[in-house]
Amino acid sequence: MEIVIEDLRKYYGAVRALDGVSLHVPGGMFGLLGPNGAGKTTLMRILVTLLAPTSGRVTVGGIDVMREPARVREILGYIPQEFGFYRSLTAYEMLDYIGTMKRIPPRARKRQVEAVLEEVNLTADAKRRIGTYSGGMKQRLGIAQALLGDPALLVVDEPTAGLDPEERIRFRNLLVRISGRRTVLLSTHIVADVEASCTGLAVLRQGRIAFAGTPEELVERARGRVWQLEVEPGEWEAVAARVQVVSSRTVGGRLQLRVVADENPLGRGVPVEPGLEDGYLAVSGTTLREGMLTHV
Amino acid sequence: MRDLTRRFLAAWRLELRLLVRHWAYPLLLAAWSAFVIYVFRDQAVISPEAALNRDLGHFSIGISSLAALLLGAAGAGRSQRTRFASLEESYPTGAEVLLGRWLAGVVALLPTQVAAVAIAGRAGPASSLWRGLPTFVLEATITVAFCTAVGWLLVSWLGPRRWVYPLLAGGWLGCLGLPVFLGRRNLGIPGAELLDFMRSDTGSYEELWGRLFEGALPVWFNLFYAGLAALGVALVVARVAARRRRRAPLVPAALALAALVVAAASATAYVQQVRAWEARAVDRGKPRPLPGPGDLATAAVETIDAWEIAVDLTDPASPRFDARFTLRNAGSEPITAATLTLHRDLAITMSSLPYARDGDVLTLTLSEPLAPGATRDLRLAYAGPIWAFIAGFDQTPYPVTFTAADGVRLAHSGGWYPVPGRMLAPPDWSEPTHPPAAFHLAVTVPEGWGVFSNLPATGDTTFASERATWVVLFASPRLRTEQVGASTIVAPEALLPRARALIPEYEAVLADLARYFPGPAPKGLTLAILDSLPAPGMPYQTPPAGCQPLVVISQSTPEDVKRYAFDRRYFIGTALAADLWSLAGGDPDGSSVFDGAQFYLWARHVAGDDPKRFEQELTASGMPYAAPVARALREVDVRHGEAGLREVIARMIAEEETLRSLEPDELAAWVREVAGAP
Repeated sequence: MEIVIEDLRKYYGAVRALDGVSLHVPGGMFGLLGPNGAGKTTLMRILVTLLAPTSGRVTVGGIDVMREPARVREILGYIPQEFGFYRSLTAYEMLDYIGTMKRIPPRARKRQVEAVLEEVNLTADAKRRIGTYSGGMKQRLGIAQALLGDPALLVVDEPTAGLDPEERIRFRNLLVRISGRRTVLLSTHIVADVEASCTGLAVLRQGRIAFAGTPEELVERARGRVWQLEVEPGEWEAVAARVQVVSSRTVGGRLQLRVVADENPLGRGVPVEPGLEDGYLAVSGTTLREGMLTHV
Repeated sequence: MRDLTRRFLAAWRLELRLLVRHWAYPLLLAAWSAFVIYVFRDQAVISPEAALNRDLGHFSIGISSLAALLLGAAGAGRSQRTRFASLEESYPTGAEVLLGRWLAGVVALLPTQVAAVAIAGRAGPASSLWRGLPTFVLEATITVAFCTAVGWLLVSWLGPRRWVYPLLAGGWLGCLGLPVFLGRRNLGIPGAELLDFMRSDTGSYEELWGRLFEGALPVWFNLFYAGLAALGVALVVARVAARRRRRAPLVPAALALAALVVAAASATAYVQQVRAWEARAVDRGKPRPLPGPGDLATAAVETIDAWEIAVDLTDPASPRFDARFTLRNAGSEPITAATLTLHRDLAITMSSLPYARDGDVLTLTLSEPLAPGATRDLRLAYAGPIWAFIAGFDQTPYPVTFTAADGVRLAHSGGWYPVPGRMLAPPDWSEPTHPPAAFHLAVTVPEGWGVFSNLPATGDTTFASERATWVVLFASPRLRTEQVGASTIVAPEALLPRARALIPEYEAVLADLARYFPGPAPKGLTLAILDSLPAPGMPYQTPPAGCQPLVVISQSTPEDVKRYAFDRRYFIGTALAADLWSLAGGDPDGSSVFDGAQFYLWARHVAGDDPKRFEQELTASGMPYAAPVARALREVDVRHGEAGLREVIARMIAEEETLRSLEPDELAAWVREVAGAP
C-alpha cells in the first residue's frame, strides 16, 4: 500500500513540527528515523488520523487522510509510542472488544484473536489480566491489537522504547515477520531497528525530510567520510566539536573514536567501511551528544 | 446497522463491566443504600407509591445525582487515564461507542435506587409499589442520565483532570440551595424550582390524586432534563465527531439543536403553568374581607330548603350537573328575583327560569313574586371544569377544587351547587356554607371509581341528609369503600390495610366514650382517609354520617396519631366525641360546653382512674379554659360513677344553648350543682 505525503505542514503556534514534508512510501517495511523532536510522532499521528495537519496532503492507498479519515481507519493498524489497556481485562477480552470495534464479524473475530495471540506468542497468557503483564508483553499485545482486522497499513511509533535488548530483538523480528504482506511504517530513533528490518527509510530532522531512499543509499552517503582514530582523553572535547562522533570506547587508556567527517580528522584517522548509522549521521548532521543515538 | 449495534452493545457491556466490577462500586452502593436507610429509618411512609414519589424517592434520586456526576466524569476520562485513548481513536468507530459507554454509566447507577424501592415496598401493598415504580425509575433515569451527561461533557472539554471531581461535587452542593434562593420566597423567579435537578422538592403527591396537583409540571420537568441530557451527549458526540471526521458534525449538531429545542420548550411550558396557577391562586398574604362565621348562611333573603343534585362524572374533567332545588323566601317582603352563587366557570345549559350572571353571582328572575315563606321548585343544569386554588405556605399554588381526568374534588366552598346569597366562599373556607337543608346527591362515575361525600351514604354512589350545611364530593379511581364489621372505611386503595388496622382502635375509643352519652351507642363508625389535612376543602369538624360518627383523617395521620398525644386526641377524641355530642342532639361547633366535656372524656380515657395522670393530662392539654369543667366532671365521675356522669352530660347537651354563655368557672359550678355536689 502506497503512502504519498505532499508538502505536509503542522504548526503549533510559532513551532513548526512539520515544515513541508513530502515523502513517497512505496510499501513494504519503511523506517522513519530522526532524533527526538524531529516531528516523527506528529507525522505518525497525522497518518493515523489522530491529528489534523495545518496544510498539505496525505493519501494512503489513494485515500485522502484528511477527507476520508474513517476509511483510512478501516485499513489501519496503529501502535502508538505510549498506550495502555484496561488492566482488569484479560488479553483475550481486550482483543475481542477491539475486534468488535474494528468491525470484525463475530465468527471471524474469535479466530483472528486466537491467531494474533499466537502470532505475538501470548496464547498461554491470554486469560491473564493485562494488569499482571510485563512491559514487553504489553508491547506484544499492542502489536496484536494492531494486527486485528488484517490491516493493509501498520503504523508503529517508537515501539522498542523501554524494552530490554532481548524483548527488542524479539519485537523487531516479529515486525519483520508480519511485514511481508502489508506496509509497515516504523518510526524510531534507533538506527539498528531500521537497519535490521526496513527496505526503505526516511530521515526527518527539524520537521523536514533530510533523506529518503533505501538503507544502502543512506550508507553510500557516508562512504569516504567515516574514520577511526585514537585520541587522548583530553582531546575529546576538541574533536567532538569539529566532527560527528558515532561511537567511542577506551582502549589502553586512550579513546578510540569512530567519526563522520569530510576530511581526515587530525590527519591521523583511518578510513573505515560505513554503516547505516554513519549514513544517518551524515545526512542528519546530528552529533552523538545531541542525538543521543544508541549504538547496538 | 448490525455492526453499529454490535459496537454499541460491546461498548455498553464493557463499560458496565468496568464500572460494576471496580472495587469502589459495591462500596458506593453500600454507602448510598446505608445513607438512605439511615435517613428514613424512622420516617413514616404513607404508601409505596407515595414514598417513591415524595421524600424517600426524591432523596434517593437526589443523592444519586452526585454519584452520577462523579461516575460520568470517571467514565468519560477512563480511556485517557488508561492511555487506551490513542488506540481507541484509531479504530473505525463513531458515536455509538461513546453512547454505549455513557448509557452504561446511567445503568450502573440505577441500583443506587434499590434501597429506596425496598423501603417503599415494605410500606404497603405491592400494587401501590408497581404503580409507582415505573415513574420513579423513569425519573431516576432522567436525573442520572442528565448528571452523567454533565460529567461527560465537562471531562470532554477539560480533560480527565483530578480537580474536575471536587468541581463537580462543589457544583452539586451549590445547586442544593439555588432553586430556593431563586424561588418564590427569595428572588421570586417563577419556575425556579425547575433548576432543582436533584428533585429535593418533595412534590405534591396525594395518595388519592397521585401527582394531579402538579398538573403537567412533572412532564415538563422531565422533558427539560431529558432534553438537557440529550443536549449534553449530543455536544460530546459533536465535538468528538468534528475532531475525528474532520467535517462539520451535522447530525450531532442537529440532534443537539433538537434537544435544546425540547429543553427550552419544556422550560417555557413549565414556567407558563407555574405562572398560570399562581395567577389563579388566592394569595394568603394579601388581606381580603372574609365573611364571618355564619355570614354566608344569613346574608341572603333567599334560602334553599332542599337540593336534589345529580352529578355525572362520566367525563371527570368536565362534569355535568342537574340540580333541582326548592327556593324559599326567607325574608319579610316578596321577591321577584333570587340571588344565588354558582362558580363562574360552570356553563348553564338549562334553567327553569331566565337568569343573569355576574361572575359567581347568578340571578334568577322569578315569573311572579315569591311571597315571604313561600317556596318554588327550580331546576338548573350546568357543566364544565372548575378549578380553585389557594397558595400554600411556600406560595405554591394548591388546587382545592378541581375536576380532572384523574380525580374530582368538589370542596364545600367550590360553588359546585347553587347556594343562596351572593358570595362564593373562599377556597380555604372552613365553615358551613348554607343553612341546614335536605340534600340528595346522586353521582355517576366511570367504572372502578369510588365516591365520598360527607353526607350519609344511601347507596354506592348516592347520599342523602335532611340537615346538610355543606357538601363535599370526592371521586377518584383510587378511592375504595369497605365494610369492616359495623364500621365503614373510605380510603385510597393503598391505605386500606392501614385503615383496617385503625378501626379496632377507633372502635375502642368510641365504645369508651359512648357510655357517657345518652341514647344507644353507635355501632361502628365511618373512617375516611382522604387527602392531606389540614387541607381546606371541608370544615374540620365533620358531622356524623347518619347514625355513625364520621372521622375524616389525613393520608399522613394514621402513623402520626400513634406518636403524638395531642394529635391523637384531636383526631380520635375530638372527632368521636363531637359526633356523639351531635347524635345526642348537641351542637359541638364552637361550644365551650362541648369542649369541657370532651376534654374530660379524653383525659379520662387516657388516664383512667389515676388522678395524678389526669392532672398531667390537664396541664399538657394547652386548654386551660376547659380545665375547670373537666375537674368538675371528674368529681361527678368519682362521686356518682358512669351513670351520674352520663346524666350530667345529657343535661349539658339539653341545656347547651343557655350554658354557652357561661364562663368556665360558672359552667363548672353548674356541673357541680346539677350533680348535687356539696
